[in-house]
Amino acid sequence: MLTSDFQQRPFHEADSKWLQSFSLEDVKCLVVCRGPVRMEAFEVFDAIGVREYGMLLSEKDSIVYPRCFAPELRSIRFPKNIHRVPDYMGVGQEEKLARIGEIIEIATTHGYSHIFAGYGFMAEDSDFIQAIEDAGIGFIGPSASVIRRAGAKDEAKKLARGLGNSVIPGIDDVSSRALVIKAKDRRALEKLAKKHELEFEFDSALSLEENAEALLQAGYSKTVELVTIEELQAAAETFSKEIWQEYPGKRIRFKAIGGGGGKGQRVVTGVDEVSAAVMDILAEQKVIEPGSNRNFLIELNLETTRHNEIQVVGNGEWCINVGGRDCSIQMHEQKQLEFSLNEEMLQQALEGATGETRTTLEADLRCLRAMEADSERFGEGVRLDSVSTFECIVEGADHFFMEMNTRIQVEHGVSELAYYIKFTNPDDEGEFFYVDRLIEAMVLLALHGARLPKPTRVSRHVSGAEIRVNATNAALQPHAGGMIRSWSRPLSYEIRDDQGIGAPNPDTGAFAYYNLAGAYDSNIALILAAGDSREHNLERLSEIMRQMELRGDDLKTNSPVQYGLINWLIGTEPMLKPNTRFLTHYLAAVGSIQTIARNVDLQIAAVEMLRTLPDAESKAVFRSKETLLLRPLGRLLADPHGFAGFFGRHDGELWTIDGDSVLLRENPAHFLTELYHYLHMDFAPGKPASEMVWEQDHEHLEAATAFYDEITHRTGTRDWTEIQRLLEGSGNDAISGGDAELFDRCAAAHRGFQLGLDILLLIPRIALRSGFSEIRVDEKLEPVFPEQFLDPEIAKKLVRALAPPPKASSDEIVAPSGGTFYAREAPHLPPLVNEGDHFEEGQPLFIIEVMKMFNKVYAPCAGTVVENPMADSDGHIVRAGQMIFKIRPDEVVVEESEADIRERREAVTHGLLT
Amino acid sequence: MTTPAYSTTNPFSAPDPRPAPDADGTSSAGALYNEAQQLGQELLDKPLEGGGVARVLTQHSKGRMTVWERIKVLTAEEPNILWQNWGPGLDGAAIVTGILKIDGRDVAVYGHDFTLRAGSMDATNGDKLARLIYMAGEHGIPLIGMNDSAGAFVPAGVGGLDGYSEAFTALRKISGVVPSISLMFGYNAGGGAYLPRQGSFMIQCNDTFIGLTGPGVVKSVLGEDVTADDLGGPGVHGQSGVCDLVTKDELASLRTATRLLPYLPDNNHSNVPFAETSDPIDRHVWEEDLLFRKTFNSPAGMNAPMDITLYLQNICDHGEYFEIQPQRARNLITAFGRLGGHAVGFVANNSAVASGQIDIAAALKGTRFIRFCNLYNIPLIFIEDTTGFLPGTEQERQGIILAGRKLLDSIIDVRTPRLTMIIRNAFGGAYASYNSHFVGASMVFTMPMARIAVMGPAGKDFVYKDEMRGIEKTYRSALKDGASEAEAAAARDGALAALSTRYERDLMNPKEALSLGSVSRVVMPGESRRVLAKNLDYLMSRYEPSPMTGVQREHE
Repeated sequence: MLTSDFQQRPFHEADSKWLQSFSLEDVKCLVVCRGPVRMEAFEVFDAIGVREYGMLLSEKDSIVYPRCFAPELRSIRFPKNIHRVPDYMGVGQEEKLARIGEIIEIATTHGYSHIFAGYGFMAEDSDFIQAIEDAGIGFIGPSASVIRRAGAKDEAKKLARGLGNSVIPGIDDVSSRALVIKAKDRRALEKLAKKHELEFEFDSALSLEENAEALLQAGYSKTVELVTIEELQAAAETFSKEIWQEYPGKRIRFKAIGGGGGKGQRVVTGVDEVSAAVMDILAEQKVIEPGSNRNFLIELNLETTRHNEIQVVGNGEWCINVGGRDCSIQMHEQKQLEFSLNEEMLQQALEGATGETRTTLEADLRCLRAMEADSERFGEGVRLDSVSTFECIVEGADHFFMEMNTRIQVEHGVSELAYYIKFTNPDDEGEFFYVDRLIEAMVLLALHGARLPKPTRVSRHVSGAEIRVNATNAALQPHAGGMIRSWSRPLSYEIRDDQGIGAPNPDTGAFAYYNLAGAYDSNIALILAAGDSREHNLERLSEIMRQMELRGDDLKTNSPVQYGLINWLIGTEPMLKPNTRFLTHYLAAVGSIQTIARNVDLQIAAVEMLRTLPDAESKAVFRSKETLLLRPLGRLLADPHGFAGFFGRHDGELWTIDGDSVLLRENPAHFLTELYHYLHMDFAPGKPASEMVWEQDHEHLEAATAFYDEITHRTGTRDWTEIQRLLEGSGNDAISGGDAELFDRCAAAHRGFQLGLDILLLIPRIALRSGFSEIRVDEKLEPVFPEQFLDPEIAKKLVRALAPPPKASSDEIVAPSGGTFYAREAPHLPPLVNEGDHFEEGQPLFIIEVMKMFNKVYAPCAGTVVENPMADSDGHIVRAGQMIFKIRPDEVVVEESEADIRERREAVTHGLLT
Repeated sequence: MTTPAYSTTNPFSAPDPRPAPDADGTSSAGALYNEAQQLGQELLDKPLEGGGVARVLTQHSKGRMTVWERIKVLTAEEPNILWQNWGPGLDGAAIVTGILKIDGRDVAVYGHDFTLRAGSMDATNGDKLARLIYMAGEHGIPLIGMNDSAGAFVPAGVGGLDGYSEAFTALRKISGVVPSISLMFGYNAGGGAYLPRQGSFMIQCNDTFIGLTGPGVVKSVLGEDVTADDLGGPGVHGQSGVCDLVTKDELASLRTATRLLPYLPDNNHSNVPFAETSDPIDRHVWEEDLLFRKTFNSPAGMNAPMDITLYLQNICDHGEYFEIQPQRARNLITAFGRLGGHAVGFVANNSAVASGQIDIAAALKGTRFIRFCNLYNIPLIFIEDTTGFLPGTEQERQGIILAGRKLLDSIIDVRTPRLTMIIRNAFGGAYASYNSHFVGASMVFTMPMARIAVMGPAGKDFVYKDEMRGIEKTYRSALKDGASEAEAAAARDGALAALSTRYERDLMNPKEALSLGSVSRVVMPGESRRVLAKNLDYLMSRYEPSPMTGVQREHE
């Protein structure tokens, strides 16, 4: 806890009886999960005075992968409390029950008072938690009864409706409602049953619609048509109109029961489309025949949804919220970047906002307040006795309840940055304490829940945010880890939970090499920071990522994606309201950059620029600047995400794009300095020379900067156009004080410093050609992408450019990544293909397991397997690029010759120079 | 004076802050003094400039650091540069020599300055290099060489070759006296490849070349079309053992060198610096037990392969070990590690690769590592789990007997404390040669599941000759008595399997070896860290580091 003057202190060391009464000294806690939250739990336990704790250690963290030890082992305070288990969770029900028994056995044998499961798979498992409770052990987290009340989605939704919470509007029983329109009461239904000789008995305990449903079911079994298609169409029109009344302008989705994969679904925008839509889905579902079950759903269509959630804390009696989080930036169901969504942040953004932006932010604030109110009501409703997350989808400013996650979540730290939780002594208003860690709140609630007075939240930072560092490639697909050999220390304002990977060898102080291949999921670390505003927050994240050096072998992480995206946001719109598909479109746009950037050859560009220079002197000066110019450009071109970020951050500032032309707005010498800075290559004594600007290039940049600073000092202008005009004129007394020779030297220096810098215009030109520069954010703070990045087919191709499959001769199928090979989908199934089999393009050929994810590898072309060296190799580790099958493709692809490649690169590069 | 059309200096920049020579020239003594100062400064600056700005730019444009920049990565402390104006050009003669303080230890360093005559060698800098190398040997400090040289300086003619000869000789003379690490940068051919390989460890990064000649000569002489990387890149040399460690770039190479250094002693008359550890030596290693249990209880049972580095990481101090030649012959793992603070060399059979059988490459890799540890007073721990040397025509034709003999001899020659831990298989010749009691092991330990025997499962044919004959007889008489072929064969196979089981139970265990005193004691899984560390500590307390002396044996 934090004392009233924000000093960290364990309760038992506090100076008042009331505070001491919340002592956590009696807790001996067993942590049964792994990953960043295990490290965090230990940290919090140490800070709050938990007596003792222990951990499980699975085989995968010790004896399955070389150089993959649970890093906590190097520093845990209680080395005797490490308990060996085969795995942290079970695969399948039987193994799960065995694991549960094992954990309870460990806890009782070693006298643990509590169990903590973080956000592990077991944390929301009511069987697990019930067993813990039955064994008389405390569970740090919501109790089993809360999970049962809140966990099941249908029940939770029903409860939410009952509490007046907002859920997705719509109905899932069109058929029975249509029947009720026709047969308005009990008698009418019974009459119908009699007429068609159906077995039906009215149950007055049920609603009219439920009775109608029962009658319909009886009808289906005898293929009796009770409701015609026309009647369904009419009913659908009626219900749609009702929805439109409440949500004018929105689209409505019709979905057949049992439809899927886009089949049996239609989205309509107006009442005149309803009848046709109903007919279409019924036809697709093949339920036109009389007597078929033609039920379907009607609901509000949520296309551009955002994923928001509210953090709640409760003790079973009271429930409060500590603000929300925007988790919309996600890919493959994996969240990437999360921001706090809180009143203070929105209020601040409102200051100075005008027009539609203002209206949008006001609506967002209303929406947030409504979500917060709903979350507390729901929390009280389920008698929440720990922390949970109230998850919503949001469209525009309307929110709809999805589910409650009854556990602490990965991104909980974002809320800790936004608010403190303040507990005040009910008998003495002057006495209070703050809790700044949700894990501490969980321990407190587990131990002293009923006694804890209802707290209030106190604003801590205007904005908080979290980056998830994951093992992925540039297309955000999981990638088999690699080995970390060094990781720079966190910045002063950076909160980095790296699971302890960065904890050095206690004897030598050296970084302990860490093999990521052993990780269960692809998450490597969480990085958090706060800010005085969303923008300030983003700037800090950018600075953290800029300075972070993570080096190793075969190491691929999403940090380039994060760094690029954060900078793009800063430059474009820090208050962007991304939807859950934003990242897909953004990746396509970055892929589009890559399709051009990979064809740019800087050597060709340099040769071309040299050719156009007038004399030997200028050519010599250009050559002296070769590394100065080409090195940072080369690095930027090699990293399309970094490129996207640099472009987004400086578009409109260093240059402007006007139609098809690009104009410099700023002195390109500053542009270049900015680029070196962005790439974390500023000159810094003591840093390895290969990791920063070369020294002679540094001196050149320093001289140029000093020169132009002096020009500004003497002329009083910063304006680049004006400075150029002055230096390219015939003389200027402000510059030279009447010394003509000095002016000549200044003009020469200006020419020398500027020579060749127009090559930097490659950056905006590539962005322009790729269409990336057309992405914008509208007044409603929503992203607007050019059409081509929205088209799923084109987008797929563009994203592919970010992570091209490994090169191989066209008669081989190779492993696209390292991992565990499987020829079949499950042990009892036959291999996906055998030797001699013919396969079509896009057909799955084998499976590579990476980080517990079973990735199907699809045939890039049609062909025949002529050799299968991997028969009977299930479970073997393969490396990226390893040959899996020898094939004979149906069509032999002609490989591009060196000359063709060069010609293409010349064409692209020359095309970008002017 | 006409102003140039282009300039890249700031016309406003402040004038040179150094004291200018007396303007009036009246005080001749003062002028002389100032001139001397100026000369001194120029001489000090001279080697730092290398081949000039343009050459430095060229070096950088290849993504390579200059020799001075590389030195700064090795240590933040100021280098003590020796003989800096060596050579007629007073430029240091294209090679930088000095003493560095790396993590508190003195290390001699040399580095070719590629910006000066492409770092090429001639009599002048060969002489300079030899002087540094002899000095390192004399003072007993390790040597780091940063190689980035185009080879002999052709205009120097035979003199250039003499320079190499002198350096070759010097490096050979200190071989076995002080350890050395050769870092390979740039493009090194001919003498530039041999010289660094005379050292103890060679580290090569991507985008570098080592070879007798480059692809150009290979093309003109042999007509082979090959890229520099396919001819002499790290991918090639990491697998052949020419290189001990490969890395992704220059920075990684330099950092790898400083990670290797703590496992090396200063010289052949001192121990590797002891490193106090917070990892208790009596820690029971549960994981060891788990690892074996999981392996041997798997369907493949006693034949299940196991990555032995998983064992090493569990018993070493804080799980750290440093593998040497990890790209080559991983059926035998050679690695440095620490047990209770003592640096130790591990030579471990690895059943996860090629069943851990010792082939020529593994034998040569092991020999090299064992000889190094022996010369430099580093104790050895042999982890044994092998069915033996790899038989077959291919290996015989390539001379496995020579290679296996090298391994055997290198083990016999070991004079440092050396322990053996038998984990599973220890059959026949492999058992006998692999640091057994009678080839000089200080102590031999065994796990209870060890299978110490003259032969593997095939040994039953010899041990149970009578029983085998009996089974065959029964089989034939059964056929004669009208049993079907299938029936008779089933009965025979059943009997043979029972015999195999009996052989494994009765003879493939550590009992006989223990009874003969060939093996000192049984160690239960989980206890090997404790037993090995305690014995190592004891043996090291009785061990005086000293240079190797005595008779030189015939084979290396």
